Formats: sequence, structure tokens, C-alpha cells
Amino acid sequence: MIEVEAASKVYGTATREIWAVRDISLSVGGGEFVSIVGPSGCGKSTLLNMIAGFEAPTAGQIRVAGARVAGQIPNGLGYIFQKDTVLPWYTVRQNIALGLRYRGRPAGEIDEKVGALATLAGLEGFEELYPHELSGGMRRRLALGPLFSDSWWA
Amino acid sequence: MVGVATGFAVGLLLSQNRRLARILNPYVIALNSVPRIALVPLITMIFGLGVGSKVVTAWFMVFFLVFFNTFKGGLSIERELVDFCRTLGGTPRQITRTVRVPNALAWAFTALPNAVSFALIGVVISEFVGSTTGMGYLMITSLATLNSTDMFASVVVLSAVGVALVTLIRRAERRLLRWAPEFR
Repeated sequence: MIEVEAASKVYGTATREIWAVRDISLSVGGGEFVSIVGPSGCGKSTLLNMIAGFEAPTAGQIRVAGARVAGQIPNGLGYIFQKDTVLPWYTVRQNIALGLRYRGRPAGEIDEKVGALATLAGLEGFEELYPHELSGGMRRRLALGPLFSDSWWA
Repeated sequence: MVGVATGFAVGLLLSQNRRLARILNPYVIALNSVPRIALVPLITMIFGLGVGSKVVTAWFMVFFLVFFNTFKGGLSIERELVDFCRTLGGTPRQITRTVRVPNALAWAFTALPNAVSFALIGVVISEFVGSTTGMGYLMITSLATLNSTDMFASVVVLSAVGVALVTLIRRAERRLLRWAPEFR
């Protein structure tokens, strides 16, 4: 459950204030699929960045699974960026394992999950390649891999 | 080695701490603006005629080259990449190790061939100014005795050392940056 209550975001410059998001409220329930649509510069990314905890709202509040988001990334939240968010110095296997390594999971569990996720992402047999050796589509699927490293088994 | 290690560490630290970087910026600019050669007599006076003054001079030559490249590299890291790693549960220390260090390493390596040349220049000049051993000392004494054979030999040996060091750096680069497209 995601709840946004009267959230605003203002960026200040030396000469003026820019309201990226002004007084927006919305609620997204479990299993619900929501698209946020609007012209370039209307604040879609800012809203998503606030929900993800990358930026704190200037006013209002945001809750994810009941917990208030205030510049802290909520647990269990997955976020796909416009750019390829893969680490170029890590292989496909190391990229998929990244979140599991961060969370200190045992090596056996990491191997098992990485193998399954590579298959799921259609990257089986490419585990030892570096991102620049993959096609654009494969890199996008690789970026998804780490996000499912926990939730897929939940 | 000391110049590279400290240049990399300080460059990485300041690239992550903008406030500290702003505070130290005037001092870094001032130190970097000092002609390196002008400091050699002072360094020799402080650290003596032994190895110490050569190491400090070489450090001074190398440090800023590596520092500025690493600093730029640290600033160039894409914010999305750091945010992505944060969503995966990465702590600041883990993100430094897995994202910032490898990215800055690629930038630092581009400074290393020049750093080798500068380090050799520093050591030779330091030996010109005050030393009883070394290639610089041999060249100065060769000049005094008009011994062109020893002088040419010193130049050839210094060139060979430079080529050997750059070759070692290239090998280390190929190994550490094997993920980069140019090394595949």
C-alpha cells in the first residue's frame, strides 16, 4: 500500500522557487497497477523519487506499507530507472547477486537464487559476461534481476 | 606508490564530501600551483640527502595528478546507480566498495602513465639538488667530468625504468579494468 498525502516538492534556486510537485495525494493498494502519465517536466519522476525515498517532500507525507517515508528508502521497494542501472564492472552473475550480497546472504543461497533469476530473465548461459557485451534488451532484464532476488521467493 | 595510494584515497574522500572539498579547495589549488621543482631544495633541507627526500618529492609530483583524476571520477558517478544500490539495501560503505571505488579506479588509471614520468622527474631532480647516489647524482657528476658515456647510460636506464613501469601499469590496468570495453 502506497499513500501520498498532500505531498509537495519545491526546488529553490538563487532567484526563484520551482514547484516540481504541488499538493498531490494518491493511494495505491496491494496488487493495483497504476500508471502516472503527464507531459515532460510535470513532476512524475520527482513524485516517484519521493515515494522511493530518494528525495524528501517539502510538505505532506508519504507512507509505504504503513511506514512513513522521509528520505529513507522503504524496505522491499523495487525501483526501475530510465537508464540502465547495472554495474559495468560486475558480470551478469555479480549484478544479479548484488542485493543478496548487500544483505549478507549465505553463498549457497546466492548461487541458487542467481541461477534461477538468470533463467527467469533469459540470461542463462550469459552469467559470466559483462553488461557491455549484452544487447540493450538483455541489459534491461539484467537490471530487473537484483530487484526480484528476494520478492520472487516471498 | 605512496603518491598514487594517497591521491586516490583523498580524491575519493573529497568527492563524497562536498563540504570538506569546498573547505579544502583553496589549499589544494594553492599547493598544486606551487612549481614542484621550486620545492625540491626545501624538501631536501627538511628530509635530508637520503631516500626520504626522494620519496617525498616523487609523492608531491604524483599526488595531485591522481588526486584530481580520482576526484573527477568520484563526482562523475551516476546518481541513479547509487540510488539503485540503496534500494537493494546497500549501506554507504558497501556502495563505496562496490560502486564508487571501481568507478574512480578507472579514472585514476588514466593518470598513472603521466604519474610515472612525473615521479621519475621528481626523483632525478631531487638527486641533482642533493644526493650522493642515484641516476641524478651520476648525471651531475658526469657533467662535471664531461663523461658523456655515463650520462647517456643514465638517460637510457631512466627510459628503460619508465617503460618498464608503464608496462606494469598497463598490465595492472588490463587486469583490474577487464570489464571495460577497451580491454575485452
